[in-house]
Amino acid sequence: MTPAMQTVIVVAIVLIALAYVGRRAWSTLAKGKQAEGGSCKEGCHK
Amino acid sequence: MTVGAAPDAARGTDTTSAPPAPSAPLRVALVGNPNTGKSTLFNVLTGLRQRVGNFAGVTVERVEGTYRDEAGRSVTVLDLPGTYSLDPHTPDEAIALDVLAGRSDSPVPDVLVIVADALHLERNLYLVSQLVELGLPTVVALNQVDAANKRGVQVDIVELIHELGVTVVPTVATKGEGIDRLRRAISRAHELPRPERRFDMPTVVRDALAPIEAALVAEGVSPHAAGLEALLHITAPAHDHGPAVHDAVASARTKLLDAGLNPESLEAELRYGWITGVVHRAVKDPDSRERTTSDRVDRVLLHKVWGMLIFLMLMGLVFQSVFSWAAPLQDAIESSLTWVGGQVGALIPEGDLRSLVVDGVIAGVGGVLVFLPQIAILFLFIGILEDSGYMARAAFIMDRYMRKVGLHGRSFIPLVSGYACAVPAIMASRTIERPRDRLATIMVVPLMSCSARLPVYTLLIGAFVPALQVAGIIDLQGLVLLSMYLLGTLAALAVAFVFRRTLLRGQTQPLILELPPYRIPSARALATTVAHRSSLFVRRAGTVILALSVVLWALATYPKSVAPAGMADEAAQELQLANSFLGRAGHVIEPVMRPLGFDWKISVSIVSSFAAREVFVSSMGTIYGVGGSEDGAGLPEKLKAERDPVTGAPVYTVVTALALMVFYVFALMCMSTVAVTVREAGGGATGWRWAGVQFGYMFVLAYAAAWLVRVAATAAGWGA
Repeated sequence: MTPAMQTVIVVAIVLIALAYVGRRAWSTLAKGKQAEGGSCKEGCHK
Repeated sequence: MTVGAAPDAARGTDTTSAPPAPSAPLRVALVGNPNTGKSTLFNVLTGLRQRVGNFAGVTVERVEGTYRDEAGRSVTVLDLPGTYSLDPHTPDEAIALDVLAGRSDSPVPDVLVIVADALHLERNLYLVSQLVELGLPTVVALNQVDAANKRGVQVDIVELIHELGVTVVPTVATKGEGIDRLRRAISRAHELPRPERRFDMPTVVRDALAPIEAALVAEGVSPHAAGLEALLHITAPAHDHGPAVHDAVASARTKLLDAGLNPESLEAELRYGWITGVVHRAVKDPDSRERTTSDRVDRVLLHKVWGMLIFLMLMGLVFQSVFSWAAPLQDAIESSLTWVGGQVGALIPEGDLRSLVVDGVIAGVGGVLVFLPQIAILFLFIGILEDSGYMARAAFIMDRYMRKVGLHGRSFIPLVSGYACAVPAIMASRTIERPRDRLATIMVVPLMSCSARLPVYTLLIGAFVPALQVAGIIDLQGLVLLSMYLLGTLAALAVAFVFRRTLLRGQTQPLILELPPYRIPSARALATTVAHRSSLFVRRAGTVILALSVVLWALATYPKSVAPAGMADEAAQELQLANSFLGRAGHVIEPVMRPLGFDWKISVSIVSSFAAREVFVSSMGTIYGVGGSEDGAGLPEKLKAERDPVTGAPVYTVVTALALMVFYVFALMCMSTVAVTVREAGGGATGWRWAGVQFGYMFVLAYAAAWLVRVAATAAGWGA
C-alpha cells in the first residue's frame, strides 16, 4: 500500500468519524435525543 | 391542587348524612390501591358502560358508570384514581380525599367500595384503615381471592369482617365471581352501622390531636374526616388551612416530640401496628414464616448504627472485589489487545493508516474495553443487592439522611440509578410529582458516580495507588474507590440541602416503602443484567468512543512537524504531539487547569471527555499511543513512566491522580446528561438555564475540590 493510498483511506476514515461525532453531538444537544444507556427500561415513566 | 381548600359551601358536607331514600339513585365510589383489579371490577359492575369526565381544576381523569340493582335502583359508580393512602400532600391522593370528604364539586358518595387485593392484603389494609375512618357506608371487595388461594394464602372472611367492622365480599373480577353478592352488599350497606377508627390511640396522641380536629371542624370539615385529617396533617404540617389549624398542628407536633414520639412516622406506626394484628388473625400465609425471618434479619440490617455500618462494609466489599476479581480478566484483555496491535501492525505497512489503527483505534478503544470486567462485576453486585431484597433496605437506611437534606423519598430510585448512568436516572425522577422536588433530584443526580467514571477511577487507582492492605484486611485500592463513590453521594446530599434551602424551597415527603422478603437472587436475572450493562458499554466503545478516538488521533497527528536532524525518536514524537492541533489546543487550555496540577495532555483529555467520560481514558491512550514508544506497555505503565523533560521528575503522582479523580467525581463532563437535564427541567430556555446552573455549580465544585486535594496532599508530602 502506497503512502498516498494510506493517506486517502485515513482521510476518509477521519471524515466519517467526524461526521458521526458531529451528528451525535447535534442530535444529543440540539434535538435532545437520548444517549445510549438512556433507555426507559429503568422506570422513567410515571 | 389545593388540599382542604375547597369552597366553603362544599366543606360543611357531613359524610355521615342520612341514608338515601330506597328508590333514590345511589352514588358509589370505587377506591383502592393500584393494580388490585379495580378497573376490571368497575367494568364488570357497570357492564362497561362508562363515561370519562374531569374533576374541576385538576387533570386527573375520573370514570363513571351505572347499573340497576335488584330493586331497580340506579347505581352510579365513580372510579377514583388508584392510591396507596390518603396523603393530602400528593395530587392523586388528595383528589380521592377531597371527593370522599365532600370537598369537591361532586356530592359525597353514598357508599364506598374498597377494592383490596387478597394476595397483598397487608399493604392494602393501610388504605382500608384510613377509609373506614370516614364513617361512610363501606363494603370491601376482597379481589383476586383465586390467585391468593393458588399461592396458599387463606383469608378468614368472617374474622376480617369482625376486624374491619364492614361487609367483606370475596370477588374474582376477571371471572365475574362474587359480583352479584357485591351488588347486594352495596345496596344494603346503609342498613349496617357506620364504620369507625379501628385502633386505639395513646392518650398523649389523642390529646395532641384534639385541638387540630376542633380547628378543622371549625373550618367546616366533617367530624369524621377531621379525625382522619388531623392524623394525616401531623405527618407533614398543613399549609393550605387557616392559621388556627396550622397553629394546632405545630403545637401538636411539639407535644408529640416532647413525649418522645416521631410525628412523621406516627400514623404509619399506629396503622401498621393494627394491620399486623389483623393479618395475624385473619390471614394464613405460608410465606409468613419467611417474612418473620426477614423481620429478624431486618432488625439488624435496618438498625440505626449497625445498619449503616453493614451497608458501608458491603459497599467496601463490592469495590474491593471490583479490583481483585477483575485483575486477571483485565490482564487477559490487555495482552489480547497487545497481540492484536502487533498483528495489525505487521499487516499494514509503516504509515498514517497503521498509526491510526494501532495508536488511534486499538489504543483508544482498547484502553476503554480493558475496563469491561470491572463494569460487569459492579453490575453483578448491584444485581445481587437488588434481587436479594437488600436494595430496598439500603433505600430505608438512606431515606433518613435524604429526608434530613430535604430530598423526596422517591428520589432514592433516581439517585441509585445514577450509579449506572445519569441519563435514565434523571428520567426516573419523573415519578416525583412536585416540580421543585423533581428539580432538586435532577440537579444532584449527576454527582452519583456513574459507570462511565469507573474506567477513569480504576485507571488512576491502578496506576498510582499501591495495592496495600490497610489494617491487614482492607485493600487500599478498593478503599480509595469506595471513597470516590461516597464522596459523590455525600456531595449529592449536601448540594440537595443547599438547593432545598435556596432556589428550590419546599417541604419534604416521607417514603412509604414495602420491604420485600429476602430471596436468593436468580442466576438468570443476574446474567441478563450483567449482559445488558456490558453490551451497552461495548456498544459505546464501538461507536462514540471509536469515532472520537479516530478524531483525536487525527488531531494529535496533524499537522506534521519536521524534527531537527539528530533528534532522539522520543523527543521527536513529543515535538510532533506538542505541535499538533490537539497539542496546541491543550496548551491553550493548560493555564486554566495548571493550578490543579494537570498538564496539557490531561486538560485536553478532560475537555474531550465531555462527549462521554470514558473518552478521557481513550484520549490519554491515543495521546500516549501517538507520542509514546511502541513497546506494548499498557497505559498505566506509560503514565507512571512519564517524566518532565526539564526536571526529570515524574509528571503523574498520587497527588495528580487523587486531584483528577476528585475532579471527575464532581465535574459534569457528559453531553448526554446536559441534554437530558435541558429536557427534563422544562425544556427551552428554562431547561437550558437549569442545565447551565447544574454544569456551572458542578464545575466550580470540581475545580475547588481538586485544587484543595492537591494543596492538602502536597502539604502532607504525598507528591514526593
